[in-house]
Amino acid sequence: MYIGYLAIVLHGHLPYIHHPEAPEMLEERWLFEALTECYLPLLDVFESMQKDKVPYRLTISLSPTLITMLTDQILQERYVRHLEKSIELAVLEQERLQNAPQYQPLSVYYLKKLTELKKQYERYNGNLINPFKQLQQQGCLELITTCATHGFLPLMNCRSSWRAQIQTALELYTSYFDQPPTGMWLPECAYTPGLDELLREYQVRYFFVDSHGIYNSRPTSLFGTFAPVCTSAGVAAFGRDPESSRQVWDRHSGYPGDPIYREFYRDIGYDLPLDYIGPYLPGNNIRVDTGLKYHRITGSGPDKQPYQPDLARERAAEHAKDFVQRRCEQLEKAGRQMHRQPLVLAPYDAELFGHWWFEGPDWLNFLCREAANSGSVRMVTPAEYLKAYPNNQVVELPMCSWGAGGYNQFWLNPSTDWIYKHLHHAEEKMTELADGHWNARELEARCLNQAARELLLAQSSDWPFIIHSGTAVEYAKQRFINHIGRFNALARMAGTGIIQIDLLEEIEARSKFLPDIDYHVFCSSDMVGRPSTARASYRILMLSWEYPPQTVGGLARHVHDLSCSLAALGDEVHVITCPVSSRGIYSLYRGVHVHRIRPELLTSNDFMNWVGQMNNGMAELAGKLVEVFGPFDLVHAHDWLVVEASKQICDQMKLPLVATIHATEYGRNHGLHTDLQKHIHSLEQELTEQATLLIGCSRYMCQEIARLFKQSTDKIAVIPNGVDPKNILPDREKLLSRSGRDKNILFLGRLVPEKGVQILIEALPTIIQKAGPVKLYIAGKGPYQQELAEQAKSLGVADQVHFVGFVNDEDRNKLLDQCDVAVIPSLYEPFGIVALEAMAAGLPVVVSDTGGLHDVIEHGIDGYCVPPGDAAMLAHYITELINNPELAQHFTRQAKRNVAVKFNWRQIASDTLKVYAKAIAISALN
Amino acid sequence: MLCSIDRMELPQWYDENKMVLMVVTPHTVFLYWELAFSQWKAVAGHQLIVRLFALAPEQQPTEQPRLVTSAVLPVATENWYFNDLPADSQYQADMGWEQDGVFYSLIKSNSVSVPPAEPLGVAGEAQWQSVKLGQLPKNIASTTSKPDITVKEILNQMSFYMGIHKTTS
Repeated sequence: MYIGYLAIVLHGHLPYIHHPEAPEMLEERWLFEALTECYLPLLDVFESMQKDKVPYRLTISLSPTLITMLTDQILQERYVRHLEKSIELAVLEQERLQNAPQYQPLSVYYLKKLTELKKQYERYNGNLINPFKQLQQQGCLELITTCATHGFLPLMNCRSSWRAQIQTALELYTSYFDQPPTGMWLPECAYTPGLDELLREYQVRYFFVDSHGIYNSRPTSLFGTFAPVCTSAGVAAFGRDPESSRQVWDRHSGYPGDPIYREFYRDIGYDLPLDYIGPYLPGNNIRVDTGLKYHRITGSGPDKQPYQPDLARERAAEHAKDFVQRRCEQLEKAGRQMHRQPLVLAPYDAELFGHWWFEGPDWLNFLCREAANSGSVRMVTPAEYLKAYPNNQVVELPMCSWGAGGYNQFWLNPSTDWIYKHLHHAEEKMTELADGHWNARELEARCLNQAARELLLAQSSDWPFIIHSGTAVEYAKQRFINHIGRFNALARMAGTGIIQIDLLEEIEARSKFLPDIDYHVFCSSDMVGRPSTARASYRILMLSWEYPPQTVGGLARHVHDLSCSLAALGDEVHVITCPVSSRGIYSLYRGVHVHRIRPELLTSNDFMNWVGQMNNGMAELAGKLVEVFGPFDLVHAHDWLVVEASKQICDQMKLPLVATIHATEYGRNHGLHTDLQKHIHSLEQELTEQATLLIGCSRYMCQEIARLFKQSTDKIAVIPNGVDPKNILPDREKLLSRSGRDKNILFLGRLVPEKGVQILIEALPTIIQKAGPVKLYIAGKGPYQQELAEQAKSLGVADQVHFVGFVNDEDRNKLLDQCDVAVIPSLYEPFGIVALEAMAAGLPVVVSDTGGLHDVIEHGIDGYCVPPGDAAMLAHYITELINNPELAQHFTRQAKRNVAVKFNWRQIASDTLKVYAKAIAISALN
Repeated sequence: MLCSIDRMELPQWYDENKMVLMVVTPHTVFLYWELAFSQWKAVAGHQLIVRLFALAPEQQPTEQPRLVTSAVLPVATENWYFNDLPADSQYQADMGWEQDGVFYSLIKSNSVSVPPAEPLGVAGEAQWQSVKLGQLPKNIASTTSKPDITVKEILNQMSFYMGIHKTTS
C-alpha cells in the first residue's frame, strides 16, 4: 500500500564557457569534470535501471547553456582529448603506484572507469542529449529546463528580461526535445511575485521554491511542502522538503560527509610534484583537480585513509535504504493530516551527484531500486503528481531563493552590487532598441540579435555567484565586463546605424549561444496585442455619454482611442453616445461603429430626466443594433451616466458588464455634500454592483472604488489611460532652450478648485523672483475663473496670467509647442491624462503627487512630483526646470519613452481584452 | 582589435538620472543611483541626503509614507545599504538636500516590497485552484430619492458636467 510520493529533481547547469579563440581554457574543465564525474555516470545509472526494468521516475533540469555546451562540436572534441589525457595519466599512475598496495588498486579502478566512460561517450557520439531524450520518451525521466543563461530573475529591472530569459530557454529546449517542458526550474529557485503570470503565459505548469517560500506564503499553506501550492496565476509551486534536503546537503550530518566516502579535497593535481603531474595540468603548472583522488574522508584531521570503492558502495546502499525508510516515516506522519497522499520533493544540484559526492550516482541507483521494492513510496515527477492532484491551495508566494540566507544576498552584496547598474542600463537599452527597431534587417538585425545574446550572457547568475564565492573571481569579472562591453558596443552601432562589420563578426564568433535568437523578445510590450485568453473577436457595445467631437473631460477621447485600438485588434466595436450637430446618427470611422441617439429624444430640461431620456434612448438603440449586427458579447459602460442603459441592456440580453469608473463623485467633491452628489454616488454604487468586472485607471482609483463602493479589489482591474503620440504634434526637442524670451508655463484643465490652479498662481511670484519673467497660460474654463483672476490681481501677477479659454486639439498642440513647462497642480486627480499629453509632446512636467499622477510621473526621472497644495515646493520645481534646460531635456527624453511604453493604446486595449475574457468567463459560470 | 573584445571595460557612468532600490533580504534593501551631468550642475554643491520611507500598505493608500531613516552621504557615494528594516513592508527611497529645514527631493527610487521573514502564524481561509471567483454580488436597487435639478443648475454647481448643454442643444 503506497503511503505517498517522492519526487527527486536534479538541476544541471553550467555557465556558458566557450572560447574558440584559445586552444585551451582552464574554465572549460568545469564541463569536462561534470561530464566525467556526474553526467556520464548518471546516464549510466539511468540506463542500467532501465535495462533492469526498475520503474523509476526522476526529473532532470538541463539549462540551455549546458545543453548548448553538451552539443558543441569544439567542446566535444576538446572533451575527448581531455578524457584521453586523463586515461594517459591513469596509466602512468598504475606504474607509479605498483609498489603501493593500498593505492595501486585505485589506479586500476580509475583507469577502468575512465576507459568505460570513453566508450560510453563514443556510444553517444559525444552527444548526451540523445540518451536523455530517449529516457524521457521511455517515461523514466521528466526533462525540464531553466532560464536561458540562468539569470537571477528577482534582481532584473525589466519584465522584458524575464520574458527573454524564459522564452528563449523554452524555444531552445523545444528545438532539442521536440516538445515544450511541462515545468521550469527558476534559476537558484529565485521567485518574486509576478513571475507566475509570465510562466502561466508561456504555459509552464510548475516551478520549485525553497521551503520557506511555502511556509511564509499568504495565507499559510495547509500542507506545507507536502503538496504543491497554486499561485493566483494558476501555476503550481513545489516546495523543497527540508528534511530530505538536510540528509543529502548537510556537510556534517548529511550522507556525503560519511568517513567512508571519497575525499573531494585530496587530488593528485595538488599532491604530486609539478615535474611529474605538470603535463596533465593547464599550462603545465596550474594546480587543479585531475579527478584522481585516493583518499576517503576519514575524519576532520589532515590524515586520510586510502579510499575503498567497494566499502563506499556498500555505504551508499545503506544510505539509500535509510533515505527511503525515513521518507516512509515522514510520509506516513504527514499523510495523517492530509486528505490526499503527501509528496516529498527533493531537489538537488545535479553536480552534487558524482562531482561533489562521488558516490552520489550509486546512491541514486540504490535509492530508485529500494523505492521500487518498498511498495510504500512511489517515485513521481511533478507533472504526474499534478495529474493526480490538479486542485491545489491558492496562496501568494513571497520573494525567496534557495541561496545562502534564502533571498537575494548571495547575488547582491558588497562584492557584487556594482554589476547591477550596468545590467539594468543594458536591459533598458536593449528594450528601447527592440521597441525602436521593429523592422530591422540584415546587419542591423544581426547586431541587435548579438546584443540580445550578450545581455543574456551578462545576466547569468553565475558571475555574481562566483565573485561572491571567491573562486575564479577574475574570470567571472572579466566575463561579465566583456559581455556588458560588447553589448554597449553593439547597442551603439545599432543606435547610430553605423555598423562595423568586422567588429560585429568578431563578437558573433565568440558566442554561438542561442543561434536563432530574435531580438524582438526584448520588446517592452507583447506587441502581438491579443491576449491568449481572449477569443479571436468580440462584438462589444460601448456606452459613453460623450464621444468626439463632443468632448467635455477626458472621457470622450478615452472611449474613442480605446474603441479604435480594440477595432485594430480585430474586435467589432459599437459605441452608443449622445447626438452632436455635426455628425449623423451613424458613422463608421477607424473600424468603430458610432451610433448616436436621436436629438429629439433629449427634450428635458431637468438634468436627471435628461439622463433618463439618454439612457432609454441608448437601451432602445441597442435592441435595434442586435437586429442588424447580431448579438453582443459584452457591454462596456463608462461612468454612472449610462448605468440605467447598461442595466437594462445586460438584463435583457443576459450580457456581462464591464464598467470603467473614470472618477467618483465623492473624490471630485471630497465628500458628498448635496443631494445631487449623494444621488450620483448611489448611481455609481449601482454601476459597481451591476458590473461583472470594473476597471480603474490607476492603483489609487482602484483603491478608491474598492473603499467607496465596498467592492473586492479582485473585481477591479487597473488599466491606465493612454495617449496617442500621433495626436500630439510638436516635437519639442528641436525647440529647446529658446533663450531671450519669457518662459511660458502651461496649465490645461477645468477651472475648478480640485485642479489646483490657485496653488500655481500662488507660486507665480516666487517663480518670477527666482527664474525671471514668466507667463502662465491657463487653458480651460470653469466656474472658478473669476476667483482665479482676482487672486492673480491681488498677488500682482495679473499681467503674467493669461486665460486662454477652452481649447480644441489644435490649439492645445500650439500651446504645448509654445510653453516650457506644463504644470498639473491638482488636489484630486484619478489619472491625469494632461500629464501624458504634455510628456508625449516633449514638454517637461511638474505634477501634484496625488491620485493617479503618482503612477504617471517618476520623480526626478521624467518629471517632478510636488506635495499637493504646496505652493513653495511647486515654485521650487518649476524654477528648477526653467533654470536647467538640459536637465529638463533629460526628463522629456525619458518621459517620451515612458509614455510610448507604459501608456500606449495597443497595450491598454490588450489589457482590456483580458478583462473582457475574464468577465465573459465569469458570466458563463453564473 | 581581436583582443580588445576580450578586454572590455565598463563605462564610468551613463549620464542619466537613475535611482534603483533592490531587495537584499526581508530586512535589507540596497539603493544605487546615478545623476546626469546636468543634474549635478543643478545640485550646485549641496550636501546630499538619502532617505528611506515605508509606504502605506495597499489597504490604506491614504496614509502618508513614513520616514524610516536618512543618511547624509559622504562625497562620491553611489550606493547605500539600509539594514535592520521591518520585514513584509514596502519601501521607497529618495535623495535630495535640506535648506532652512525644508527638504528638496531630487529624485525618487522605485518602490520595493520586502518579503515576510516568517510564517503568518494563523491559518487563513484556504482557497483552491478550482474555486475561481465565487458568486458575484447581486444587484441591490438604489433607494435614494432623485433630486430635483435642472441642467442649468447643474452647470452652475457641478463644473464637471460643463459642456452638457452642447449635447442637448
